[in-house]
Amino acid sequence: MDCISVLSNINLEMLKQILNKKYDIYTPPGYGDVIGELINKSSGFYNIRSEFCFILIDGSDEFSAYSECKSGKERLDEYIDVIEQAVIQNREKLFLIANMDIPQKRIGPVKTVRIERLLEAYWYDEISRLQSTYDNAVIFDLKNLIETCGREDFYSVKLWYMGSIPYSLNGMKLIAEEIDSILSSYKGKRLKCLAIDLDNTLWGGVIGEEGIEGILLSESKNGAIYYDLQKRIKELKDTGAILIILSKNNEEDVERVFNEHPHMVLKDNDFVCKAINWENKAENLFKLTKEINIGIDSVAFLDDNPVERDIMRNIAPDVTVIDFPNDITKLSDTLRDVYNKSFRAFELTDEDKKKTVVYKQELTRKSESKRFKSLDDYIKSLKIELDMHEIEDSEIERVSQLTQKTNQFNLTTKRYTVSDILEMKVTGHKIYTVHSKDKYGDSGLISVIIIKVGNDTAYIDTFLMSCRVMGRKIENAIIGRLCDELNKKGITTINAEFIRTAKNKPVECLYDDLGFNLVSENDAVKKYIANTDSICKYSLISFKG
Amino acid sequence: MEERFLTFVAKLFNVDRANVSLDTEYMSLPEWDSLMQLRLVMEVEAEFSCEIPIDEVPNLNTLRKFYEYVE
Repeated sequence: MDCISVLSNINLEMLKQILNKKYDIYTPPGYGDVIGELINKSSGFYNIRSEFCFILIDGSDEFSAYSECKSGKERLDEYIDVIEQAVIQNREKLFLIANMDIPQKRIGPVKTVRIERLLEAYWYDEISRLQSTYDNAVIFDLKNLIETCGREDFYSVKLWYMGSIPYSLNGMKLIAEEIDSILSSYKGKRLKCLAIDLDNTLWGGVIGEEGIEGILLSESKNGAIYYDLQKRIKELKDTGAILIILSKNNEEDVERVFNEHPHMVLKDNDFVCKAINWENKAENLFKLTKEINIGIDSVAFLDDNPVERDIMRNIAPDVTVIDFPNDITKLSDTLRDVYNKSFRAFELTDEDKKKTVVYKQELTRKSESKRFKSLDDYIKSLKIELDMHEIEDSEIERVSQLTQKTNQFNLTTKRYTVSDILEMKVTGHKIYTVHSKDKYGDSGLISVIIIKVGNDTAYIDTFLMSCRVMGRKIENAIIGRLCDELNKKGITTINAEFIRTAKNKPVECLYDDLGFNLVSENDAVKKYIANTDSICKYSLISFKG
Repeated sequence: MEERFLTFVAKLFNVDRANVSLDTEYMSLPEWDSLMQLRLVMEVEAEFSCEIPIDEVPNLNTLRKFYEYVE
């Protein structure tokens, strides 16, 4: 279980109780003394190995008491100083720092400047500065939770007077959910693909019956329900999710809407692929996901028709079937909630931004490949060039992301956070990234190899590759190149492992095929050894530099 | 109603239903500590739409006393 340190100026024991089911929670003995805990190097905070630290400076008691702004800011400065020091000294921990809500409790005249507002803004400026200065600091939007829920429900005067606990049970549960959601997105647990129905989902009405003028889609009034949904879907796509269409329709009708309707937010090229026909949607989805090489369990399905949703649940139970709202005015909010729950990105990488393009290129490659007589001919025609180098700082986020979500081509399936990667860099590991491009375009960072290097032996801790580029012998080229380099450095022996998971069957024989010798084997692990000079280089793929 | 109440409490305490009865006393289970006392007040109020006055809370030393508000 991951461990979270929870530091606050108020009693959050109840939050601990709620989070305890999923995380190990450390709270300091007693409560309230955030500054003492962070300053004292022998405190529990420094002695417990926690990957995450949640800091909530509650404004409802301590900061609603200030009658002038200056002393309130001074107190906030004290907090921010120790928090900033802790962030600097614990780069391996991710700090979630809450913004501040200060309800107005004091009685006063109409014409007045509210100190509460000034202090909230001051605190927000300071924690924004931490977030933009340090990779390991991120704002926790407590205020958004409170505003969505309403102060009346988020706070509990009763709990406050009974036990000095300002937040209601519901409030605590919302905080716990948000922490969980942020940590999941930090660990890269997100779905990859949204499969969307068209009629009565992307627009109102049935295009085959009502025609392009008859369907409901506009920038205002009830057509805006669908316009807004499309905007949310577009935003989802811009965070790195890919979109596909699953629709029972005539293709020409659909094409007309995409080409001619003035209010379509989503364009034809926002979709990686489509199945527009009269066949079963689940079967179509199986086909499409196979074609673009993603797991069916990484797909969410949006469809207004309960029968279609039921069929999908029954035939493809691993698909996340979205509960379509009965009240369609909630459509846009539903998609936002789905995003927060299943697609939330922690930070945007360059790869995320070009996901759709990359998947589309891949489909072109696939259709091209059918023209060639042999795989080697095809690979030669692609003119693949790899760029393999030691990890750069700008790649750390993406590397962590790949270790978190690569399932198929992943020999050991070890999941690493950004802080794990930073730690490995300084503890005798070599981390290589591989970028690939060919005549169709740039696939970006597609492979990660993490090696633990000894005197004359090396051990492959992690070898993973994006499944988009599987089937082009890129793995042969990478391992050939790696062994060559190690050999030049006097490392003669290389050890490797295949650790079996439910999903990495495609690579169970990879090391055998590459010429490694099997040393031992059981149900869970296959261990290999090879001489670095006995692994052949693969000549059809070139390397930069 | 009694059964629903006790099942609800057992689930909240994360103990077997057999371990709680209306005569279960405050602090007699390790799960029922001072923090859980507060949570119990809030959870019972929400689940059974009732109101437990704050000055009664210190006197609620058996599950029966909670149940009186539920009935």
